Amino acid sequence: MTKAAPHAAAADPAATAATPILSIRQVIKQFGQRPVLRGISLDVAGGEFLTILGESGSGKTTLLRLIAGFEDLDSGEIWMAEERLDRIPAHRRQVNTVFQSYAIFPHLSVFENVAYGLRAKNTAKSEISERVTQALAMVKMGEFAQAAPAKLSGGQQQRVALARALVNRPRVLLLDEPLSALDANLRRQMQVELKSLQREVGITFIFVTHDQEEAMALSDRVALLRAGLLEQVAPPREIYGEPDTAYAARFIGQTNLLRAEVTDGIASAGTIVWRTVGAAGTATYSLRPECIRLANESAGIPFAATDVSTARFRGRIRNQTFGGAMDLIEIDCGNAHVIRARIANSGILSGEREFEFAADDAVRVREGEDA
Amino acid sequence: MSDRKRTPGIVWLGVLAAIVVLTAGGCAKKTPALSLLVWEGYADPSYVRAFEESHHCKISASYMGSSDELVAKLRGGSASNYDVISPSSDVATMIAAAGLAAPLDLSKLPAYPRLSERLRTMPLVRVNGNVYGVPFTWGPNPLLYDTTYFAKPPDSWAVLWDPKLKGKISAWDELSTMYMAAQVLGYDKPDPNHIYNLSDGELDNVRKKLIELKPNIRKFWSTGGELTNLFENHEIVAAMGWPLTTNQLRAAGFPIGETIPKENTTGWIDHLMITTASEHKDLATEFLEYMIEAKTQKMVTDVTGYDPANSHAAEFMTDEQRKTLHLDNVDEYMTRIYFWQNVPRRDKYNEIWNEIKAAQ
Amino acid sequence: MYSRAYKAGVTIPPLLWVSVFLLVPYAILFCYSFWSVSPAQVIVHNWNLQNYLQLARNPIYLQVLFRSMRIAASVTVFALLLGYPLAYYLSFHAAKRKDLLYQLVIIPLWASYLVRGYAWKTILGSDGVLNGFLQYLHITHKPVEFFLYSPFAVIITLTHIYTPFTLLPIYASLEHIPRNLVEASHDLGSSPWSTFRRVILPLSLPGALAGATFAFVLTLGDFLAPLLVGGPSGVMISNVVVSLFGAAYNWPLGAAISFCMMLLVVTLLFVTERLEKRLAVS
Repeated sequence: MTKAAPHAAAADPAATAATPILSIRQVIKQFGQRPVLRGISLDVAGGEFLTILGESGSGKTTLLRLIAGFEDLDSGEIWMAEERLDRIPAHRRQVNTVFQSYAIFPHLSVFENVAYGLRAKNTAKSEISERVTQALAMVKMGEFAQAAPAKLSGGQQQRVALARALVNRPRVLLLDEPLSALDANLRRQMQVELKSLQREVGITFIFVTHDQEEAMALSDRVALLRAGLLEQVAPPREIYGEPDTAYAARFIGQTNLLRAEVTDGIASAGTIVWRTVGAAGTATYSLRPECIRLANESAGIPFAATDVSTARFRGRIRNQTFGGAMDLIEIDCGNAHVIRARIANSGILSGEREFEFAADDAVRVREGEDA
Repeated sequence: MSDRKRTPGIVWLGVLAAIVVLTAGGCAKKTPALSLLVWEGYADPSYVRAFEESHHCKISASYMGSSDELVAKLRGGSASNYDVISPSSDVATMIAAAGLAAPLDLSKLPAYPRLSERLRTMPLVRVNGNVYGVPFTWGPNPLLYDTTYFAKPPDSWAVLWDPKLKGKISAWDELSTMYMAAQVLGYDKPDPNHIYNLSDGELDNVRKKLIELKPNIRKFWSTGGELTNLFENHEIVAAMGWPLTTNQLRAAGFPIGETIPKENTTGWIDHLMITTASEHKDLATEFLEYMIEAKTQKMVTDVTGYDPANSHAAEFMTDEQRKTLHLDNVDEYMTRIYFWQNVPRRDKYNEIWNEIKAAQ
Repeated sequence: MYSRAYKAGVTIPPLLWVSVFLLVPYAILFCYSFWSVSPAQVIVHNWNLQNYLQLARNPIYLQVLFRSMRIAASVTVFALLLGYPLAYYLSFHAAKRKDLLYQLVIIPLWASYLVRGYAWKTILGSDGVLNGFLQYLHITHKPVEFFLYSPFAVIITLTHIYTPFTLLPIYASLEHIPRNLVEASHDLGSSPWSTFRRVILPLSLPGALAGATFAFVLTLGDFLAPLLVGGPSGVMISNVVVSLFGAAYNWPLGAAISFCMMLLVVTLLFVTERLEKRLAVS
């Protein structure tokens, strides 16, 4: 992964679309005494691929089920364009869901599974046949039309589930961790297909996952959910490059969190010193491992340089893990302070070395309520 | 192999252990026990308890619903479960002849000579010079009726066929109902005993006659208690029954009437016998002796309303009781009763009876 | 995997059990059906087909068999009509009351059959609860007699006794339906009723079939209900068997009927099991 480009995704059309297709407003949901969603507001633009990312228990599946209509919300509103969605029953919502465990009807053939929604709307027979065939072709399952679901592999069932939802041409498609049951290779393949499929049909996808890499690979925007509250909603590059909070920084990708004292535009964490903006006082900075590089020691730049646009520090190499193009290195800076760095392959390193990073790469983040 | 998977073996072991324990428990007998298979009313505590106390034994009784049930049980291999049985005159001969009962040592039954000579001298339980049973009680199968429904006693069995009694009568689930129909059809003339040996043609007529009766039948009864209940719950107003039922209903304050209609009726002489398989023959003999003693016979009569085989029982009775039991005029009374006899073609009778019950 | 001793330990006892308590008695029964009763009321081992011929010739036996099957079919229908909705409610809507209601359904199974039979007698009798109630409300003026000692009473009693047997497999099959299938159906635009018709009902059919088989087979073999609450013409096939064994001492004919009944029931079980499997797969 290369160095994150700040602000690169800020102009993403999805994020700034004028009329959202789906509008979630101050949604609160409890199960018994346990709050699950504690006030969620989120707009989703038409044609957007939005991922709701969170750990298990963060409330992401509940949010999806509220949109689908499988749960009733305690307070708040959900709108689809001009329509109040949360007041109509699930079977009248123009929303379809791809379930985590596929939920393929075991007593119906693949064809009948896909035709299910069309039959519910009394679609003409000829149209059903045409659209189902088309949908199955789209997910490359045309030859399995008459097969019994029990005979399909997990990946094939996943495709049927997709076709079954998409054939209805929903305004919003909800996907509840649809890839989590697949093995790693199939999963990567499906990610690619899913993304191109979404571009092809132009339907709004709301995708739930706990896998941050998946979220980054697929989404136009990522909504990071944490214990029932939205931590940050932003395009993947922005959320990676400029995490709002320490939690977001840690959850998306690896990072080093540096606690620093800021005075007069200078941040200092132990012996590491760099130029910064913002208020004075104690602050936390996120520094991605790949932003750290080996300093050119032969250049002989003195340790306490006055040019603080590049920060320098010394540390002993404690551990080096081979990672192909980049190795992961653990640097012991003393006082049990360890910084992780990703260094382009330059052989086995050892002993005490000097490292550097650009001051701009240390991103000031909020600590969050219980970080 | 986990402990979980080992469980089935342990369960089987447990089952085995349980079987062993249960059967072992069954073998351990301490006080001697007499087991009876008798008609209802013949093991009433009012007289059985005294015997249990004086002989330090335990008496347990099963009731039979029909003579055929008794025979089927003895034939079917349950004979060894019972010590004393009370077959009626219809099957007593067959049971004695089939070797299901043990010959009695009359010298151990001092009360025997005091039993009614007429009953004693009947050939019913005498086979090859041996005596296999003691007459115990006798009585008719009278017509019972609800006196609130009948202003005056019905005088004929034919009243049961009255269309006004639709669903209002009960019939005994026993061949006696067939004998009764034969009487109504006049097959008891001139020889009353002919009803126990009907021809195929006559049996077919009996079958038709009883199928005609079915709309009037609310329920077939097979135990005296059941018949008593049917009257008490006002399900029926008339039925062929036992004097025992009359006794029970009178005791309960139910307005029950009992009569022998003009066609006369069937009746029975019950005998007490000891099974061949009994392991307590001496105790059983003492029980028989106790049961035919005049004092016991009086108590049996009090419970059942049946006539005692030991006419000396009358000495303990009031005049009224003697009159109710017709003991003041026994010979005349007995002519009204066609005592059950061995039915040579019992299987044929049974087959027809089953067809009648199964018919729509 | 498992030791030989272990394998023997788990397989031999059930095999022994089945042989001693099932196969051997059936074989003996089968033999009896080819013997006959002599005029002297002794069962003689002269092998012949007389008993089976008698069953074929005398229409009374077929007549009773058909009556038994009619009653069994009625009980099956009523047990399904009562059992299915209750099982459905239990499985899908009972929520917190589920365990309690489930126990309430099960508890009657612990009560003696006879107690339940007698209970119906006191409810349906001429002086019974139902007639008393109807007369109190002046709906009827004298006892309705067909309530008790009638096919009606037999069907009501057996429906009451065998509905739990019908309900349990239905409940089990409903419980096995993944709830996300129901959600998927709603999600795809099916109303609750249409979801029931298109998803829940087809998926619970194997359970319903198993339940129906229970009710039918158990009723077909019943003899106590006709005895307790049946009418004078309500004799069922098992009553004939009981009377042949118990009173008539015609074990051979009773054995022949029993064997025919067994054949009928085994065929029925075979057919329904095949059907259940087909329903379960498709």
